[in-house]
Amino acid sequence: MEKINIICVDDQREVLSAVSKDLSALSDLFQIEECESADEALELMDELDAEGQHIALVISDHVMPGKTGVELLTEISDDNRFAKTKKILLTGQATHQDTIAAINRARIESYFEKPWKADVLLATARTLITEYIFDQGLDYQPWSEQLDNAVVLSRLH
Amino acid sequence: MHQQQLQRIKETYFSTAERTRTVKAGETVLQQGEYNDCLFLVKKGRLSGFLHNPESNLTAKVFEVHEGAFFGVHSYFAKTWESSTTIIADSDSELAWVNKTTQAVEPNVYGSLSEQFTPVVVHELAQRQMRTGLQALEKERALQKLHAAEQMTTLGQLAAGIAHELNNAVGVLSSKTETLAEALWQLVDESHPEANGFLELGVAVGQSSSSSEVRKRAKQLLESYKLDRDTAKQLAKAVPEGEVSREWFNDIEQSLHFWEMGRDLHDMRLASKHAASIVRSVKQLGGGDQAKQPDLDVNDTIHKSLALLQSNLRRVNVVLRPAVLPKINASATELVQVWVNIIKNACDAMEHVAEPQLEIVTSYYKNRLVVSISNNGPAIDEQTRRKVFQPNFTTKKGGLSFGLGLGLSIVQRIVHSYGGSIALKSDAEKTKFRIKLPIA
Amino acid sequence: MRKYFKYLLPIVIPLVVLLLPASAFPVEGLTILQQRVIALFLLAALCWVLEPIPIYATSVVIIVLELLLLSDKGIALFRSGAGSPEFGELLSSSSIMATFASPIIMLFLGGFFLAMAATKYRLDVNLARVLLKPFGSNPKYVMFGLMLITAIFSMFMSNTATTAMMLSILAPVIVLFGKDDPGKTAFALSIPVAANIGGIGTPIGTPPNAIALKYLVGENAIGFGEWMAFGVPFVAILLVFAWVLMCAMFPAKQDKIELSIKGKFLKTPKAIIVYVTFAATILLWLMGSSHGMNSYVVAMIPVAVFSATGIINKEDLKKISWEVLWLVSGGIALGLALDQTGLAKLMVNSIPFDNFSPFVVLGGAAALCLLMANFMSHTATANLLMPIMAALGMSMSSLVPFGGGVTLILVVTFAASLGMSLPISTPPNALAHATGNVESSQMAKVGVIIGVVGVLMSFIMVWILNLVNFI
Repeated sequence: MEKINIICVDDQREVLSAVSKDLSALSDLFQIEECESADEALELMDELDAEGQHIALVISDHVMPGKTGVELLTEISDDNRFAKTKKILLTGQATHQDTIAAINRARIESYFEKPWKADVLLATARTLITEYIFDQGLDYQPWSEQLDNAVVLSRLH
Repeated sequence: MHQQQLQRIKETYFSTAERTRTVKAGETVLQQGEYNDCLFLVKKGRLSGFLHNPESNLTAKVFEVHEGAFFGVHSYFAKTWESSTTIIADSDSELAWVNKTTQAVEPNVYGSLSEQFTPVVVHELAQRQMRTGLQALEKERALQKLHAAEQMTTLGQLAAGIAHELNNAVGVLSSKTETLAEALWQLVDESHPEANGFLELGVAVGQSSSSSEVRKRAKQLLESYKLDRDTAKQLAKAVPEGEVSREWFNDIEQSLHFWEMGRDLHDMRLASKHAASIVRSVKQLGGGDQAKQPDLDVNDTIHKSLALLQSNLRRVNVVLRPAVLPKINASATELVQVWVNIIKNACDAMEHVAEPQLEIVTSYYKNRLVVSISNNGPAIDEQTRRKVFQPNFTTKKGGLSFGLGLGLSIVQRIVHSYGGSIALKSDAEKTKFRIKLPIA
Repeated sequence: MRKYFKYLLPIVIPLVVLLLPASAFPVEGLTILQQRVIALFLLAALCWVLEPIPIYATSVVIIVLELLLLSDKGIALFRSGAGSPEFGELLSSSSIMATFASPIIMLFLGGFFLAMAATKYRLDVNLARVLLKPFGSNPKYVMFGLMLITAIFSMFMSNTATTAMMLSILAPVIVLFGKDDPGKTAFALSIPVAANIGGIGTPIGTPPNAIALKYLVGENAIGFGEWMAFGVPFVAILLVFAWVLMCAMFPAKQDKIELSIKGKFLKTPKAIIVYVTFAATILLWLMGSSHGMNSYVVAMIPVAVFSATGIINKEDLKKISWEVLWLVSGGIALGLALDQTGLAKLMVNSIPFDNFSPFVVLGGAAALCLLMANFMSHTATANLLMPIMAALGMSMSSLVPFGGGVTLILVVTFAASLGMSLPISTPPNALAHATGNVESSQMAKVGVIIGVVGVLMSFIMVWILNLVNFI
């Protein structure tokens, strides 16, 4: 079975573990990776990609030392290898300008404000992963129990 | 030309002894509404004009006349022969006058009396108008000052209000976390005594290794202990280095579960502590406590400021070099306000710097404390440098961004109130504020 | 009114031809079926030139019309005269339908599978990254490297896909050039030129090559490896010429350029299967028929391997350029009709080509093909010209000293790939023009020079091939 990864990026360790805990329902079928900086995330993505694994979703904070979240997600969306990867910006501190950049340049699929609601984040992640699986032309069945059924139905239609 | 004409008039008409008199301080020269056919020149001393409004029964000072100035201009030239204000001498003064019986001197050369006096009239009117304008400006400035002070007070009150509310909430969270931890501890002790150690480890240490370290360690554990991926990762978080003791593997799922619970408690405790300290700082910044305390450590106020600006400083490398300083008599709130303003400005200035760095050095020299705060943001040009301490000067477009910074003018005001000084130096490498405070 | 011409002409002219009495044609013994084929041929030619409908749709229409009008299972009304000599021999419907799955199509399908798997597992990008390294950072040599890689890739991938990939690698570099640096033009133009030239190198490089193979049967048959034996040197020489030409016409002012391509070679089992299958297929193709399989059979191997391993899944299947396959099928069906009804032979015989000098015929055919290829799809050009050229080549005895029909077909095939002087000539040209760095006039200058030089070179090539007794 193809391996599908979800990557969470936040420089605050406690927040990072909280995010991945909220997504833990998905951890049986997908691999959840934690990164404390944008560069670490890019390096990990490069590595996973070289192993032929999929990166379905990146959830990133915005204000971080080094590269910001918007810069990270822009780089990902400009990279041919991750053209179909879905992106969520999860932040409490993005300015109006940052938000515009996130939508126009990083082409994020979703924007969450801190503090976030765990169930909404989980549902969004599910939807986006389902879309990724169909965009990528993978067979959805092995993952079907954790996918967003509405998306599955509309894509099969 | 104009000066000469004026001089001639003063000499020709206001130099005769019979039209000169002296008045004592406090003496009323003219009464509003009473008969007056004289134009006065103040030769010495000072007088003030008062206007009385009978409807509102208010009296206000409307002008002052000094040496070389005229009064009675209105009644004399408008020929109302009635004084429009009450003139009272402020000091002992010498006055000269002309009245309606005074004849023109050399009318064939200089024209009639009114022609000769035109420069006097115009000059006096212009002077009065100018004075009114200046007064209006002054008033505007005073209002602005008042407004800024009001804004600050409101913001402070708001901050204090929020801080108070938050403090309660954080207090509840923090104390309940402790209670819950305690309860959990007991519960585990009774039901799973063997797992108590894992819970304890989680509470005490939390996750100490970084995500990349965890990944590396997980790979290593995966191989040496034949675990599945998720378990290996969790174990890597719990046991960051060394051998993994045998107890973990008795029931690895359960061990990790308890460790995780402990870790979460650890995180909660940390977060509530963090929140509490921020609330405390905000309260201090905004709260009405301006009281000076005799044994204030300036280094402490710097620490508080840094804590307050933690989110702004997230991407900044902060270097703090404190010296052992003598205690001074000052208000912590005010000093925190000074540092916060300067540091906040530094953060904004370094927004586009690749490796932002903030250096704070404190030292003690010849009865003075010196605090220098420098950043590696772009240089401030000469022109801007001269204006930064002026009120209402800003380089930040887009108006008011809700921040804790309330301007360098306030910083300067506070520093001056302690008898200290503030100076700004800037070049391409760094921009430095140096604040000196006397040790009273 | 003029814009309706492109809809009216392809309907009116074939209808008129269809309705004329047989005596109106200056050809002795024209059967009714042959007359229908003439009408169909005109319909195809007009539709491919004027493009009132997409060119692949024309192909499908031709196949269906052949089934309706010419086949033994067609509409009864159109079969009423069957049996009589004036009517002609009906075509078998299954052989017309079989053009959809002709070995040529299967060869292309195999090529598509290889290219898709290579793209999906990033073999193309990673190879480009590794292969570009030795060319340093001097713009001249980097450009040569890019052209070389583009040419090699376009031998196995579609010219369009190769161009798209290379232009996307190039895009960040072109931005760095100065505003008026001619180097920009050189780089943007070098890619489509190299892709068009590179396509000549293998039978699967571009559809005209495969169509040519269809007519090179029996003793004239050319294997995959044999084609590459002359195709690759031809590509190499023309590529160097194009490089020198563009370096001279558009010298880059920039003295250094850096290409950055991210990525690592994938090392998963599936990726390794892709690498191995890719290499093995090419090797089997190059070995000729020494293993008993011809290139069409070999082409089916990657199709099976990639499908079975899930490397190409059903979503990927949907992305295959079916329209290219249909376009080629239509050409094959047209050729089938021309050949089976005997029309091609009849036409060629009724024009006294034997009286013409073989040079005039060769030169004329190449010039006509080059001209057509500049204005319409290369594949459609080959579809129209190849059946006629095949018949002509077989019947002209004066061509025999120069290699006979093979010579004619090869010259025309190469000319079909050399039409690249306009943005509309080929999809790669259109892509490069769309980058905004190449003006039509610049493309025209380079395209005409390379086209003419290429055709002349193809003459020299067939002459040499003839000298060594290959043809």
